[in-house]
Amino acid sequence: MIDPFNAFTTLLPEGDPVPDGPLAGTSFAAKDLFDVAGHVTLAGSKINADDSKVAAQDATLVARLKAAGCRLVGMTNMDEYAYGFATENSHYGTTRNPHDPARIAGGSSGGSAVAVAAGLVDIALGSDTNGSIRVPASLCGVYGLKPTFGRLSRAGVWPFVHSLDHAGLFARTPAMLAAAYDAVQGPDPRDPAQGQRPVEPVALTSDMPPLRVGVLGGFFAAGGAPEAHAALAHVADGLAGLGCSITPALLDGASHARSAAFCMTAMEGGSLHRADLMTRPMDFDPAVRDRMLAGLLMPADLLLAARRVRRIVADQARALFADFDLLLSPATPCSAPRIGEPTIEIEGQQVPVRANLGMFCQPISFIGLPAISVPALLVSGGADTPLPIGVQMIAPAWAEARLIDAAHHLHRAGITGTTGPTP
Amino acid sequence: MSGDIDGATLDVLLRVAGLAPPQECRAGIMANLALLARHGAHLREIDDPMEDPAELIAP
Repeated sequence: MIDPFNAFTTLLPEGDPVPDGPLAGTSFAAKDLFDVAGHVTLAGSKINADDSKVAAQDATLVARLKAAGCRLVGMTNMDEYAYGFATENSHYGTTRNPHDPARIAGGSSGGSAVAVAAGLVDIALGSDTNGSIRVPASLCGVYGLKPTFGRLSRAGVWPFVHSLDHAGLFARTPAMLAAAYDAVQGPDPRDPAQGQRPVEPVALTSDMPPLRVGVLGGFFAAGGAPEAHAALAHVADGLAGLGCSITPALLDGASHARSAAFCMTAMEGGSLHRADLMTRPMDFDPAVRDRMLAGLLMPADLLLAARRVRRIVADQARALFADFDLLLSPATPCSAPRIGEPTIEIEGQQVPVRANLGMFCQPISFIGLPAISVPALLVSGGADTPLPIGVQMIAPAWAEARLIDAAHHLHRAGITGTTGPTP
Repeated sequence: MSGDIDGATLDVLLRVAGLAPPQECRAGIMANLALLARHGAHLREIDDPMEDPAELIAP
């Protein structure tokens, strides 16, 4: 296989035939923090490559996709240790956006999003701590699902922030996403942190249910480029046309949740890598290293405060879902920035790309809610853009099936969908 | 914690934490400390020390 966008860190030989199953005839890629038996899990790092620890068994989600008949093609590039939104990796190079190779793919699961967007695979596994599935899904124009915290097994997944890490999926259609999600969900005794939920298969409906949809304002309306808000309006209008009610909604603590996620990430991530930060700091990507070192210097009280804020904002969201079935926001504040561009403009200010592309995703993953980035198909008016951009749809805990079903209806109606460099 | 710290304060923080990163890391650490301090101050606006920070965040 040719890899023109540097999506992969490892391409596997075709190997043995895969078993028959519900995903027979399909292929997948795994972000290179999922263990694949017989290979070193790089997690985008030089340190893991140097340590050369070979995985003894597949991560649970890798094993389940294989068991469902899906062929593993390879492992994909990412930001080092999943800390970033760009997939500009100082060790393994930059992953390029198939819609414009001069632009980033987003991250940290950038290689997975590109592998799907470019049609190199049907399905890809990613992880999402602060937006690392939804951000690259938005910038690459594919569907990206971050399930409820604790829904999918993290066994055999290299950690970043234990309190916030989620495993999830990319696909070019909601139907494929549903099939892959059904293949990987279910209890796993290898993951003690997983929520004790039964398998809840996705049932794609023939008619769109009349959902009560809230369009998030406040923090979610204040920042972002025109294309982000045009995409949001396009999807909201589309849902209205499908029979949903659309009204404004407010998650009061969203900006505080984002700040708490920001702090928790640096502090827990730094703690995870403390030994290597002490003994071999120059082996890290500099941007990752300095953020983690700073996290190690913050007072423990701040981490406790962040955990309390999570409970406060989670309660706010739970109350909000008494009035809504689905919430909408932009997935990213803009479409894909150029490679090497250090900053993006938000509300008239230049802010760092790496820290801010996930600003609308962070509050949602922080409180564990399931969310999907759907690629808006903008076709009229001044909202046309040659680059894809996603809209974030958010559901109450454990309502992933509702998200995928709503995405299915949007896709079928031509309101969302994949374009461009797919086969 | 103030957003901006000087080199002497950074030395103290590093010593307390048992860290001794190379000189070229210092500017990046200080910039990130300032960012963390700003976000920390913001999240404390709604913090309630009596809130139960139970780890199970999904109902």
